[in-house]
Amino acid sequence: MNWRHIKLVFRKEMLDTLRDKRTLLGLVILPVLLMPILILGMPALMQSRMDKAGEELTVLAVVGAERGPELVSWLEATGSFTIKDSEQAEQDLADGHVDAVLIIPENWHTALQLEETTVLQVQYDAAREKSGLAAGKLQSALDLFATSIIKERLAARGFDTNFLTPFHRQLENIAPEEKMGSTILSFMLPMIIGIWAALGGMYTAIDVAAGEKERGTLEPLLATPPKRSSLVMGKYLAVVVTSMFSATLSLASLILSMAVAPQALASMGASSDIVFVLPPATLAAFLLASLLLAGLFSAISIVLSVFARSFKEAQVYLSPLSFLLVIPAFLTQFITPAEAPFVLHLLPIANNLLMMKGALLGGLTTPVLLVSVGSSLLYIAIGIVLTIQLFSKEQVLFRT
Amino acid sequence: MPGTSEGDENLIEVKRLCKSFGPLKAVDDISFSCQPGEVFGLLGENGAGKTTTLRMLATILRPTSGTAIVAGHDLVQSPHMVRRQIGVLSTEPGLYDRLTVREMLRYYGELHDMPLPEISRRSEELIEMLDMKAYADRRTGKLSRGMKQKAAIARALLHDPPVLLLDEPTTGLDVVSARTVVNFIQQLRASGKCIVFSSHIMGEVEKVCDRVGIVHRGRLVACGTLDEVTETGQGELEDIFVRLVGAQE
Repeated sequence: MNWRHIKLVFRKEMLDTLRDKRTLLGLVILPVLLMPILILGMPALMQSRMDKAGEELTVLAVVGAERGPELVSWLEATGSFTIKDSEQAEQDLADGHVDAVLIIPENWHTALQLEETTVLQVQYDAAREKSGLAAGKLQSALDLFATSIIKERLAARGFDTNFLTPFHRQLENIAPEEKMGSTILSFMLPMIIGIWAALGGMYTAIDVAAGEKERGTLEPLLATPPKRSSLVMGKYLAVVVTSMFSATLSLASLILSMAVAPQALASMGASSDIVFVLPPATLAAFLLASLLLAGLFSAISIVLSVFARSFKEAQVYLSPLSFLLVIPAFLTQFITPAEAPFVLHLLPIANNLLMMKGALLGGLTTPVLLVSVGSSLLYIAIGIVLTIQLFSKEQVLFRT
Repeated sequence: MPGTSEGDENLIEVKRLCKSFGPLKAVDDISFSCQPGEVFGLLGENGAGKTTTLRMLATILRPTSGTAIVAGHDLVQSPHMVRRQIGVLSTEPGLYDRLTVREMLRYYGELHDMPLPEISRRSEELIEMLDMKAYADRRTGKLSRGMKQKAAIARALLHDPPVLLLDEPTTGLDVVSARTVVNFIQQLRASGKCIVFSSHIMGEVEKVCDRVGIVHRGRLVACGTLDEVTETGQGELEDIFVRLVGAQE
C-alpha cells in the first residue's frame, strides 16, 4: 500500500461523490431536513392527535335511556359525552355515526332500588381508534358513577365515605432531569444516527466499485501502476468519510433542533422538565462508536459493490443492509450497556450500538470500551482484506 | 515460431500466451513480437481472443501460461513495471462522467506518479494536439462519443509510454472520428511507438498495420507482414481472412 496513491484515489472519489446529485440529496439534504421533522414534528403530531382525541366529545347512543335518566344526565354533565338519539344503535356504531353504545337493562331501576347487581352493556368498535378510546372513557365514567352510588348507600347507612379510601398514592421521580434526557436520547440516537453512519455512504460505495465496472473505467484504472490494495483503501476511505459526514450532519441538525425547541422532545418523556445535554466527552464517545459502525458498513458495502456487475445489481445487494442494522438495534433497544451480556460487546454492529448507548448513559467502562473498539477494528480489518482480495480476482472484476 | 524475429529490438515479445476461463480456451498459445515504430494488427472476429490477449498484455488479466516481455519487463513477474511502459485504449472510452477532461488527465498522471508540472505540460500538449481545447474543462459525461475517445487517447498517451495497446479503438465511432483515430495511430507509429492494434475492420488494418496476426478461436492462424500474409493466400486481406477463418469451421 502506498499512502500517496491512497490519498490520490480518495481525493478523486470524494470529488466525484460531491458532484453527484444523488449523493447530495442522500447525504446532505435528507439528514439535515429529516432530523428536525422527526424530532420536532413527530412528538408534536402525536401530542396534537392525543389532545384532539381528548378534547373531542364522544358521541354516545343510549339504548333504554328512559330507564335510567339520572345516568344519562350524569354522563352529559361530565362534559365528555354528547348523547345522540339513535333508532338502530348497533348499525350506527358499525357505520361510525356513534363512537359507543350504552345499553341500560330493563331491570336497571329495580336492581338499583333492591341493591342487586345488574349489567350495563357497552358496545364499541375496536377496529376504530376513536371508538376504542370512547369505550375506555365510558368505562371510567361508569366506574365513577358506581362509586357515587356506593357513597350514597354508605352515607344512608351512616358510614363515613373515607371508609372507601384507605390511602392515596403519591409518585415521585428522583431521576435528575439530565438523566431522563439521556435515557430518551439513548433510545433514539443509536438508531437515527446509526442509520446515517451505516448507510450514508451507500451511493458512494456503489459508485466506486460497481460504478467503475459499469462505466468501463475499471480497465484503464487497473492498467495504472498503483497496487490494488491502494486503490481499495482510497475508495474505502471515501465511503467511510461520506458516511461519517452524513452521520455528523444529522447529529448536528438534531442538536440544533433540540436547542431550538427543547420541549418537543421532552413531551416524549411525559415531563416538560427533562433536560437534554450532550457534554463533549459523551459526544466524542458517541462519534467514535458511529465511526466504527461506519467503518464496518463501508467495508460490507464495498465488498458487495465490488462483487456486483452493475450499478443496479449493487443496489439490489445493498438495500437489505438496513436490516443488518435494524435487527441488532432491536436486540439492544431495552438493554443498558451495564446490564448487557458480555458477548453483545463482541457482536458486530450490536457492540457499536451498545457503545453509543453507553456513551449517552455514561455506563461505558474501560474494559467494555476496549473490547468493543478492538472487536470492531477486527471486523473492519477482515472486511478490508476481503475487499482487496476480491478486487484482485479477475473472476469477480470481469464477471459476466 | 511465426512472427518472432530480431529479438533485441522488440519492445513486445509475446511468448506462447494462453488464457483459459474454465473449460474455454480464450487464448491458445499465441506468440508474436512488435518493434518500436511498428504497428502489429490483431485481426479477428468478435470473441476470437483479441481483447483477452490485449488485456493480458495490459496486466489486467493474468495469463494461464506463457508470458510476454514488454519493454524489458516480464508480464507475469513484474506487472507493476510493465504498467509504467504501456498506454491502453479500448472501444469503451471509460471516463468518469463527473470529471472534466483536464481533471481526468491529472488523475491518471498522478496515478502514474508524474510530477504535477509535467502532468499539466503533457496535458496541454495533448489537448492541443488532439484539438480538444474547446471542451477540455467540460465534464466528460457531456461530451460526444468522438470527443470522449479523444480524451481517452490523451489519457493513454499522457505518461508517454513506449508501448500502446489499442483494442478496437474505432468501433462505434462515426467516420470522421474513426479517421482521426487512425491518422493519429499513424502519427504515433512515425514517432517510434510500438503499437498493438486490434480490429475487425480490414480497411483499417491494411492502412495502419505493418504486420498482422489473424486470430481465430484463440489461436494465431496466420502471422507476418501484410505482403507475407496476402502472398500466401493470393488475394485481398479480406479474402485471406475469410478463407483462413472458414478453413477452421
